[in-house]
Amino acid sequence: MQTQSPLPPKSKIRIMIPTDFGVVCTVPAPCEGILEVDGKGSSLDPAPKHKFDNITRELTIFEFNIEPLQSLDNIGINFGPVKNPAATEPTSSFAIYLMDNLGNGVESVDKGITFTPLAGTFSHAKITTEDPIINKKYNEFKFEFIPEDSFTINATLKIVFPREIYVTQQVNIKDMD
Amino acid sequence: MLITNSFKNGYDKNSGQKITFTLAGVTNPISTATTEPFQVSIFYEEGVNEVTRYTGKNLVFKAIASD
Repeated sequence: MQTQSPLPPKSKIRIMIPTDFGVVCTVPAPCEGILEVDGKGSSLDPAPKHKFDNITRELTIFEFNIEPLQSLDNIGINFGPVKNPAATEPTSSFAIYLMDNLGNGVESVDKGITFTPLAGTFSHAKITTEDPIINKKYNEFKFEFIPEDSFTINATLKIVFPREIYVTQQVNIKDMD
Repeated sequence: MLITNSFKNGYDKNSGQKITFTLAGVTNPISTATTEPFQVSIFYEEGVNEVTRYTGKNLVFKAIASD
């Protein structure tokens, strides 16, 4: 991110992480699910103190800059571990609040900082039939998949058959787990 | 072909369990030429909110000649 206003040393950042992201808390509040925060840049503390509140989804990073930051300086912060969202719909926006060393608000943004994950894949995919003779009618095809991602009961499975295989309107599905 | 609400318990990737099912009522190709790949995807809303999309080229079928 890039600050519009100068910041004195030992300023603070609060980052609200959308609930679409998973953060595993191993102990009650204050959650220690976010174990690593790295500042990137010579003006930043490479390992600043921080805390994460899983209820408010607020990651607070204390005294993140060693040197003063000028207007339009870049601020690079890595944090984790977090788990990516479970589907490709864009997340709600992160919110970011910058405060000076006395806790006074300097800048904030709470719109437009979203994340859109990419779809996963299958670790195993196989289609077989016991009767592969050409032109065989009313045949049965067995499908096997192992998805790499979890999904809920509302999910839809789509199969596009090759044009060379004719599927009647009377196709039946069976043995669905 | 769309199969909606067919996973009565959803799916937990940590289970590593295979999803298996059989489709009946399919007619094999008219020749032994290798088919185009099957395309398989799992989504909540296609093109908007997707979970898994298989783009591998190995899901093809090759029929064998009759006697």
